[in-house]
Amino acid sequence: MSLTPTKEGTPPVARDTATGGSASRTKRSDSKFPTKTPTPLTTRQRLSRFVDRHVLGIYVAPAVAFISLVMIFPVVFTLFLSFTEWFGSARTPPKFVGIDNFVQLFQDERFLLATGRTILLTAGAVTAQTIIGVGLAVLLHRQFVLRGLVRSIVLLPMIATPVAIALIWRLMFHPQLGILNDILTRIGFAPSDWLADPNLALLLVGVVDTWEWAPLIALITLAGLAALPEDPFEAASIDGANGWQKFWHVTLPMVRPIVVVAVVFRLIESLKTFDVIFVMTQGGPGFQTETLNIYAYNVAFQYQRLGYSAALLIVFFLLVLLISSSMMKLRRPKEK
Amino acid sequence: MRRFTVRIDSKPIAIDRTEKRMHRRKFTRGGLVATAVILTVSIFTGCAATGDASGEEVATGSFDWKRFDGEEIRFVAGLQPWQAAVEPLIPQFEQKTGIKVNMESLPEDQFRQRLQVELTAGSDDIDVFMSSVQQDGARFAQSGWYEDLKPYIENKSLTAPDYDFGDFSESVVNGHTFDGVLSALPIQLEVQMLYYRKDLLAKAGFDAPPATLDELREMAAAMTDPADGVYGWAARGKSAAAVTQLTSFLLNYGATYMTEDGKAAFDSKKGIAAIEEYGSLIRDYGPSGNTNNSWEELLALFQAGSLALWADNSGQAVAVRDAASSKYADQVGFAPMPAGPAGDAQTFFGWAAGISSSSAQKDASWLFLQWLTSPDVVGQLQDQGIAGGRQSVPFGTDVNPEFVTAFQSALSKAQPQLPQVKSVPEVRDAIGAAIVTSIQGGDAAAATKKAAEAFDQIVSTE
Amino acid sequence: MAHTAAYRVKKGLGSFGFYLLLALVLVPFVFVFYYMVTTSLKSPADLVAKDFVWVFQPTLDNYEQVFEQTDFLQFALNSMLVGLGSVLVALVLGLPAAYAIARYKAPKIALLVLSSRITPGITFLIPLFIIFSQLKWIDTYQALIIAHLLVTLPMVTWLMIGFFEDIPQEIIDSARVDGASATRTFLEVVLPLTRGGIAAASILAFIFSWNHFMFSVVLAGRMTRTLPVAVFEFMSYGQINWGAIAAAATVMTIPVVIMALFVQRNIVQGLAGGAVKG
Repeated sequence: MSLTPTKEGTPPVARDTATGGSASRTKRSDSKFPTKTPTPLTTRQRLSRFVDRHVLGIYVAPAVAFISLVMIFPVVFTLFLSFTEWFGSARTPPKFVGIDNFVQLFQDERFLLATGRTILLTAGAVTAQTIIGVGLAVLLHRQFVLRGLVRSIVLLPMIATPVAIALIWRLMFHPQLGILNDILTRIGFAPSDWLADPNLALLLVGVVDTWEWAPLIALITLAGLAALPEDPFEAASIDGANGWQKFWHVTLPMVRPIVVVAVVFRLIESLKTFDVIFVMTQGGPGFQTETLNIYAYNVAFQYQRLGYSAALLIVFFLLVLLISSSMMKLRRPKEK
Repeated sequence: MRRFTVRIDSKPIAIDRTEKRMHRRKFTRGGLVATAVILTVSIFTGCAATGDASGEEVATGSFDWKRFDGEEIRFVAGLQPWQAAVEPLIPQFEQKTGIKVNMESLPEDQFRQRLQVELTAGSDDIDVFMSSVQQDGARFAQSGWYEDLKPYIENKSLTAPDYDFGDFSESVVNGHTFDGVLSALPIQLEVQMLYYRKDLLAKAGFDAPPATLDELREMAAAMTDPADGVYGWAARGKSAAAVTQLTSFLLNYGATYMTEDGKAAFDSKKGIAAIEEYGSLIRDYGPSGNTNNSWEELLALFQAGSLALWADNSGQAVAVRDAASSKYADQVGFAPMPAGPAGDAQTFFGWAAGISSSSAQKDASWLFLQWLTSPDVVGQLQDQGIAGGRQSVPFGTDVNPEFVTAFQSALSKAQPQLPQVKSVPEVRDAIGAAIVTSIQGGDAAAATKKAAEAFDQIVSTE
Repeated sequence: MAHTAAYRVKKGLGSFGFYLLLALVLVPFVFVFYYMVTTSLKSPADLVAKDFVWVFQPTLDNYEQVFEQTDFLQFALNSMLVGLGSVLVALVLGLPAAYAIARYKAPKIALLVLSSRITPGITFLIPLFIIFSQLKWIDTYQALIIAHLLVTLPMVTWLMIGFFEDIPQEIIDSARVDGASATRTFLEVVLPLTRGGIAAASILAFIFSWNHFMFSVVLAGRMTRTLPVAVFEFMSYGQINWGAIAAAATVMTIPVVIMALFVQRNIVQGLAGGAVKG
């Protein structure tokens, strides 16, 4: 291992240790300014210098290359497929159909409804998560016994395996075996069809998503609350503000930027909800909980219409891009 | 079969080249596009290559079950009465041939997904698979996923002299042949059938199962008692799954799924009436959670004693009479589906098994498929009440005679349960959505019209 | 302020109200897990009983079934290998990238890495599926590891950007002044200083690989099926065996919960793409 002393004034030490550099010994420089004119360098040293000069490029290259390979390439490939009709069989190759898939897509009621549902589910679930999350954060912000334990409990929903959780919720919603109908009938209500009820199914998907992710907003907000200065609260107390007023007029405006960050992340993630829907309803009853993600999956892997699914994904991708980039813009001015 | 050999040989090279280029060019965007093009080209050109890649020698010599001793094949199956009954018999085959069978059984939905994905991927991991020609036949055949079974059957070195292929009726063989390719052989034949509880019927004052849909409604109403946990009527409500069960209603109301020239016909007045009837029966007398119920859920409810009348395919007959699973087993009766205003049509569904064209061990796979459909195994299954596709093999003498009568009377006039199009899964989903709307009490007519539009759209792109 | 009796009563009530509220809020979170564990310990008779059974004789039958009737350990091993593999590669690719991004302030590149989190996974899945099919890579570990990198790489990168930014500039400068090359500084000074962060990032990325479902539904086969897919497919003919499903779900969740306890403080950060420090 070679070490190049570049400290000003220290004469460069010739090195021929275990670097294997003997072969690359070059003319010794007579300059006193090693920073300007390089002293004789071994290959390794030159490499090291090169790396030093291009740290940014070299360090990020592998990651960027990977991301490009597994991201940009599939997107390009999907774009190509979206102009074809292909049933995924090697025997009948993709057939070029121009923009037919896109034309069909915008006449496809199932697609349009799935788009609407995706947006509705995202908007509804994230709103609920925000309200519950912020409320939870305010509650947990106080000092109390077992605060650490409670925080750990709140973490559980978002790190537990979503498939496992969705299966358990599916059992709870089970009309005959589930506990929820048992509770309903015990307190004198009629049992519900839960996930089989057209008016409830999508709502319940949102409930499970909220259960899973309200804690994230809560914990992010909690971090924001912990970083707040004390002064405005004291000032507000002196002005005679009550708890609610303090929360509404002092706390909330101050934590708003960080809550917005949390909401943006949830919005992006929520558009992509897959596991919970796939496991609980598979998009049913009928298509009543079918979001774009689920529809795309069905088109590709149940109907084998890979060209059409590619077109669908392009539109879905653009939708997510549009929403997330506008959200990013929304959040930028509020960031310091 | 052999004519593909040259292209097959060139395929791995094409892939290698693609791989190398992918590595070399992964840093530039232009390179990425190039890679996409190359990959695409490889899909275009590599196209005819898959299909059958075995390159195996054609087997010669006399037939010998032990010929492929030591080979290992994978059999993918859906959880079905047939699968449950055949699984315990497989050691017989392993002993007979020395071939190890890795059987993988998944719930029906998951089974279909997995099969589809692996076949699309051209995986050589699947050797023998369950498949329904009504559901998958046309599409799978178009994709070239079925190995043509005829050469194997005709090869005296590979097919036992006592196999008796002629025992499969001509119509059955034709039904499993697509573009001249014999794609699969029948393993489980089902008719839609009415399961009923004799004790509950008697309690409500009826002495025979319903013969018409009107009687059915009357009996269902009389026996429904949610407070006691008994529902008068049940049929599948889970969208795509329900479609096979709707068919008899459709036919008995004088409607069909499609016209001769392939246009949707189920949105006729009669068709809508049938869908409304199917839905309202379930809504009025069915158990809760009905639109999420497929046969799996309903079987559990029937065994638990919650259902008085239940229409489903005849494969469930074994399970409903199984005393270990249900204390009401000896109270179960069987009848053909009731007649409707326009007739007394019955319907059938068939499961088959085929060999994957990408399998690397097709000969050993054929031995297994041959065994599965042999007079011996079909006989063992018919003894348990599971109908196979052979004409000459009767039900066992232990099988409930009422079931046998109902089964045979239904089968004699049975029509297929699914419309004969290529995109069956997609069409099922579309029709299923209308059924769900009908069950939920929504506007069934509008939903049916919408489903018919979707049907025409789907079929037109085939 | 004088602490009058009325005030003390009010405060006491407030505190009581607070704990009551807290308990109410926590019920839904705890109950789902309680339900999962109790269901896994119930006998079939208790499971299908008409009324919900609160008190019952616990049995381990369901667990026995999970381990005896399925290749549960194999599935767990698959999940583990895919998780470890994708975390390891994510570290190799992500650590230098995160360091460079943190030191040279390159938010655009950071955004590129993050963009793979924004893009719906299914957008990658279909092309990856076709490509892997062509390469005959379906049902291989490398296919799953590559796919799961889409989860682990952004997570590792974003978390580590935060940790690297926290290293005082003076430490890096003094190493450089001592003549260490950038790489040497990175390997011998920076990485040891962020050991804790690296551990947290790895654990967190592992958890999310372990939990991931969609990629393995399609890309895994018989040999490589991961736990979430296996549990989803874990049903048997004629009845959905909820007890066994709950048992499998419990076994699958326990390691995640334990790991999560170690990285509690970093979870939020990892999930929010490094935008927040928890």
